[in-house]
Amino acid sequence: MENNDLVTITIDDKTLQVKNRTTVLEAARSAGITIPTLCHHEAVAASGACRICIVEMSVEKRGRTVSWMDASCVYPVHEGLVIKTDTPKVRKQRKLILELLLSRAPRSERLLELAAEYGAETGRFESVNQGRENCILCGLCEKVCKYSIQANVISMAFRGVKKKVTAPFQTGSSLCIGCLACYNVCPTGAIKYVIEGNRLKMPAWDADVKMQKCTECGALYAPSEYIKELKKKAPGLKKDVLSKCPACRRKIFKAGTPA
Amino acid sequence: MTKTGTDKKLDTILKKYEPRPDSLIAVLQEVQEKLHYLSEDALKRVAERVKVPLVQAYSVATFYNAFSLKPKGKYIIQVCLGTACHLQNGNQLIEELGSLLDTEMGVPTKDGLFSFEAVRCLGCCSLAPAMMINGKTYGNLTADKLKKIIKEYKAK
Ligand code: SF4
Ligand code: FES
Ligand code: FES
Repeated sequence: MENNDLVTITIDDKTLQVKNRTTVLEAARSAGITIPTLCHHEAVAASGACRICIVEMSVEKRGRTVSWMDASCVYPVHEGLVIKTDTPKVRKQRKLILELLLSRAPRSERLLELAAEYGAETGRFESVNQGRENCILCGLCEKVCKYSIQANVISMAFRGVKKKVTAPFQTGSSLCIGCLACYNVCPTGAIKYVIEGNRLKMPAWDADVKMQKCTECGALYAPSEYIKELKKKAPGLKKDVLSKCPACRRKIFKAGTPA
Repeated sequence: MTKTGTDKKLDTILKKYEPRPDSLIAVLQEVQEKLHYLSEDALKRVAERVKVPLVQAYSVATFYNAFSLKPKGKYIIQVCLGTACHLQNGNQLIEELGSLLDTEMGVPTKDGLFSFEAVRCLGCCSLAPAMMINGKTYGNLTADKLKKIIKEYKAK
């Protein structure tokens, strides 16, 4: 069977046809059904790390129903697959998964939101890091830094209970361009940044980069190294787009004379 | 700038390997063996040589127990604290070593000759309590035996 062939599946009693080997998550979304996710992001390959997107699935085999549970973001659909995204069993599993994740990230707003929805409690399990980093080790920040931006500033290091995301030797990486991709993909809000004077600082990676001033109004609008990178990767961008803050840019584009 | 002995050793090691990412672990192993640890500088040079980002080399170096970012002695003593050795008072060997070498677990002696660490089961439980020095196994240890072995190594 080719990947472009259509297969018939059922999600929460809706029967639909989707391309063979799309993921259950994609299929559900295309049918307007929401499945919670944490470690899934369109920008990087799915890893199935957090398990929150778990669903119940079944097929008919020789007159018998075989059912199981799996993470929907990494499970490819096949003919005759029946998916249930919100059964009591699914809810019970998600509650447990949340309680485990909460032990590492007890202050994450997103987790607490989900916890309220699934009746999960904080503090049921103890974690060696006592939730200090508020990180569930989903790997998204590492992957966007490595594959999308290709800055290679951070990575998983150490292992077992000591595993964590870090820059080498935990010291300010000279490689960080301040793109904030890691900050933006992090599902738990573990990554923070501050702007002090004309510097952008990310304490988690001990990164410290210079911010650029808008040539029009003088406002700090983006890290200098990030703009350099943008110039390299998108050579077609207009000069005004690169050298001015969003507000000034809008004015110029409205006037219709971008350079 | 003149090169130190360590730098020269590192140069020799680096030259032996293909400048490709898949050489990473092999190079790290040899640097660990010859220089007894992976210094920040050494790790940077290895990463550069085999063309991997420093962060990737760091990730690998911190993952495997065979690598150490802190200095180790020329002779690495691994005292077994697996179940059998634990029951045969392996702990006492650790205390004994501490006073014998005048250092703590994980901290090399001042002359850089020894460092000791605890490991779980060396796979020779019938010899409990056991230890290994740079890959050589010693079993049925007592305080006296331990003293003699250390003396031999010091005399080498
Ligand atoms: S810091 Fe955030 S994005 Fe990075 S691994 Fe932890 S939870 Fe995931
Ligand atoms: S979203 Fe599917 S495993 Fe994390
Ligand atoms: S427990 Fe020490 S060798 Fe097995």
